[in-house]
Amino acid sequence: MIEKDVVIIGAGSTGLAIAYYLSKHGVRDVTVLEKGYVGSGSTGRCGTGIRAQFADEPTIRMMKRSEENWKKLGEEIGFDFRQTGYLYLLYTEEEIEQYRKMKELQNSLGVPTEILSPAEAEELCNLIDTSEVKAASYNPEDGKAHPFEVTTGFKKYFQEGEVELKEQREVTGIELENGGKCKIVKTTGENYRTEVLVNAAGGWARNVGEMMGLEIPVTPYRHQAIITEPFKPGSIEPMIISMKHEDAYLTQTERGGIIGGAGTPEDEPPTYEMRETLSFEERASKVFSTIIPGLRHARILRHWAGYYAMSPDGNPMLGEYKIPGHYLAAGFSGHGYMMAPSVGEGLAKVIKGGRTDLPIDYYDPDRIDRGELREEAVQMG
Amino acid sequence: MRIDDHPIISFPERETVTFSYEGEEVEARKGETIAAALHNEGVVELRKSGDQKRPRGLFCAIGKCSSCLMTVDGVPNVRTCITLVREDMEVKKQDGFPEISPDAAPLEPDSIATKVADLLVIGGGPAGLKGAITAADAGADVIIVDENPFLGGQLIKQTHKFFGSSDQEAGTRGVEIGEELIERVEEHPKVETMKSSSAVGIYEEAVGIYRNRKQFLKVDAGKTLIATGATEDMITFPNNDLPGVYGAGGIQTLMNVYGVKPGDSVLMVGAGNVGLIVSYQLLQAGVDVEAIVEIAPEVGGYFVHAAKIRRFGVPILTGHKVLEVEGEERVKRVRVAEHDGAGETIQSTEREYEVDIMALAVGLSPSYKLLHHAGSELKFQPKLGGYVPERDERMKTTREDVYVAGDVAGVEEATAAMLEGTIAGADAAIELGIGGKAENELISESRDKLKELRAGPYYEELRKNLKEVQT
Ligand SMILES: Cc1cc2nc3c(=O)[nH]c(=O)nc-3n(C[C@H](O)[C@H](O)[C@H](O)COP(=O)(O)OP(=O)(O)OC[C@H]3O[C@@H](n4cnc5c(N)ncnc54)[C@H](O)[C@@H]3O)c2cc1C
Ligand SMILES: Cc1cc2nc3c(=O)[nH]c(=O)nc-3n(C[C@H](O)[C@H](O)[C@H](O)COP(=O)(O)OP(=O)(O)OC[C@H]3O[C@@H](n4cnc5c(N)ncnc54)[C@H](O)[C@@H]3O)c2cc1C
Ligand code: FES
Repeated sequence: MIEKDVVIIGAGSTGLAIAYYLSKHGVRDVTVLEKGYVGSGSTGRCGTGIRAQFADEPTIRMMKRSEENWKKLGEEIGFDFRQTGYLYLLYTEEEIEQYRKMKELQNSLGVPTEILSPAEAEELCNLIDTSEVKAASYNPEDGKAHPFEVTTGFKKYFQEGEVELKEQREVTGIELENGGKCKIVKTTGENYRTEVLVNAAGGWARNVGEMMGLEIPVTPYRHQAIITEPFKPGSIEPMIISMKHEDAYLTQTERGGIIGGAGTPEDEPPTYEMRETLSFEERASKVFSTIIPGLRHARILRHWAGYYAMSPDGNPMLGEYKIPGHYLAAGFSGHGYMMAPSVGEGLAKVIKGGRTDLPIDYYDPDRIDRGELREEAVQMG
Repeated sequence: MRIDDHPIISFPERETVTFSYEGEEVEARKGETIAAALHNEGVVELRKSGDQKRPRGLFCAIGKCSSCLMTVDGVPNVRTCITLVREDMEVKKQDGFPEISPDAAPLEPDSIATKVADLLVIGGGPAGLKGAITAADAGADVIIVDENPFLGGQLIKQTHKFFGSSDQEAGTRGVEIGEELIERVEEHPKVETMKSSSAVGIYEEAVGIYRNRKQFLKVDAGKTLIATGATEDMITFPNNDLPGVYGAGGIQTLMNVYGVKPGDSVLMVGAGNVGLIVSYQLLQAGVDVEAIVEIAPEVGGYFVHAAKIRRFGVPILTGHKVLEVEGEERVKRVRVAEHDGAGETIQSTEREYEVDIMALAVGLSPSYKLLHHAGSELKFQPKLGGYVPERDERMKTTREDVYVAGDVAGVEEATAAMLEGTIAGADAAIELGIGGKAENELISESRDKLKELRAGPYYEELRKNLKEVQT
């Protein structure tokens, strides 16, 4: 039995960021347990996007801080946070009205979003078919980072520091002693005893909860994305979004592949299935080539699925939950990757017993039981 | 340059087709690929690579390596080694990663279609052809797709008399066996043939086929037989990506399918059967073979083939390795040397060859990607060439509706490929409720023949590896 101050389950963006900020705050006796490899959950399957263009104050505040943290992390850990902006294409007056309101709120919180004309949007990417576009919402501070670089960057950083990262360690059971104060964490390798346990298991958060007799209302929905063969880098710099076209998003990686995703049909039930479907390729290629007609001939190189881990109100559940010393950081739906640096910073402070200026309380997991559901954050994909 | 006078193959006169390459008119023969036509004109550099902008030419010549990508009629990244020339086609070189071109012609409006079949066969080599014929003979509706513009796979390039290990087909030329199989498939009323059609994915819902660059087909088949063959291996040495470094099979395709002379002089790497046979075929096509370099201490191929080559005065340098290829835009010179057995070069033994092509016959790896996508379990088996699927004795993989046969199930030879194809086709028919007693008999007959083929000490390691993947 190994004694640890903190055990974190899950080495996705959430678990890694929490571990990082704990160590920054002086909590160094931390182990992260990961059943696969770093980023093997939804993190490595995400669309790479990072934005602060949301509609509610707490999320905007979290994301603004995230973007600041992404920048610092990139410099310290050695990955590129490319601030190439998010460009929402707007096709109707209603949409413009809605995004104008959002822009006002974003501006008031220090996020420099602008509403652009179709011509200005075209300047940012001349491949977009703007014939039906009426305006666009653009925040130049939004951007993207490659999850492979990010997760392996953290891994290397931890190897040189004190945080312990154990891959290929599945947590198989949790025993509670001392009224839950003490948690015995059993894995496919060694066992741990800890007072502080963080559940950052993404789409599997519910399963980890069951090990402690808890029912955590987080449900996995399959979402899919593709990457094409590489084209000349710099062809599609911003993350281009069209809510009109199945909530599609498109952007280019540094190497040249075009990453794209689109919404899951409303009637697709939750599932742990991670296989990709041909019907997605059909729907996605239609909308992608409508937004950017030049993509008609792009070949899909890879296609994959991951989860949007959904809480009942589509917002994350952050904080101590039901058992003393048990912290939950799950239910991020479609924006957990971008949020990780502020979640990490805020939750690390909460775990240490300190104060944070971030609105972590807003995401108090007990709100669900209390029936205080929050307004759903803006989603896509 | 065309091969006009060949001792074995006759290339019939064909209509000419004119297309444009970088704005200049090029004359080609109908039925040949863009890459073959350009090669005939002496154009060997087809593009500059994406990132480093290094010159790239042909390598595999059968659509498996992406070395030959060019922009055709505005569409970037077209594999020119499997795309046929068309009148007035516009072919352009790519300088690094291509641009996204908004003007490329759109797909036709009704370009997504669904087709239903009992059995879908992916790959029209000997394995796939046999599988298709067997299932269709039993009464199944079969679709066979191949991404090359011709059927027959590697078989139709084998102008030599076969080295079948038993009396099965031995002594017959591969190309003749191939032609017979192709004719049977093309004339079979139960088989629909689709050439220039790539299977791109095996999904739960259907198999995706990209056809003639025009149509996306969803094939909903009861069973799928994957017979995608193998991919030629590459080895590492400086400049191994220069135009003029070709796979031996790629050279065979150029010469024996399209009648184009690959160059004037060649250095062959690898003295296994493929290296020896292709060297002989190069000599037949009028190309000087300077030497065959083999890293192992002994010749790996059959004695008869090696003896034939030596009679032509071609030295076989065993225990030698390639140090480097030199050249700016294409191969000019190759440096080789003896090694000490532990991989270290013995400096004093260095030699140089002035050649314009280097052929690599250094092994094949199964083209397993579709099997992986289908979710069939794979295992790494060195003697079978790499990753191969687990399968039962009737060639069914761990996915109920997916069969495998031929080189993709383990690199062997055409005879084994045909027998495996027969077994897979027969069992698919039985499982579909179409086949019966006759198919069961075919299976046990074919299994006996396979056993005979793999008998003897030469195949001991192969048999061990095969056992490892038997479920
Ligand atoms: C197609 C797609 C596109 C997306 N695009 C974006 C985007 O552009 N921007 C964005 O912000 N978000 C995006 N998301 C959402 C984002 O991926 C997730 O919100 C985020 O990655 C969640 O991170 P996580 O660390 O909480 O979960 P995960 O990355 O899923 O990590 C959880 C980890 O826990 C491990 N684990 C589970 N159970 C156990 C156990 N018992 N023992 C040990 N380890 C265990 C898993 O193996 C996994 O690695 C996208 C998601 C998908 C599917
Ligand atoms: C130089 C040389 C000499 C040889 N000599 C002999 C000999 O003397 N005797 C002997 O028995 N064997 C010989 N062989 C081996 C023999 O040719 C092969 O073992 C045999 O052709 C394998 O058959 P196959 O059907 O498995 O694959 P292949 O013949 O390689 O056919 C596979 C086919 O699948 C198609 N395909 C692949 N992927 C896709 C896709 N995604 N969609 C659609 N189509 C696809 C390819 O275009 C190809 O036509 C020789 C091989 C070589 C290279
Ligand atoms: S794909 Fe054309 S040469 Fe290999």
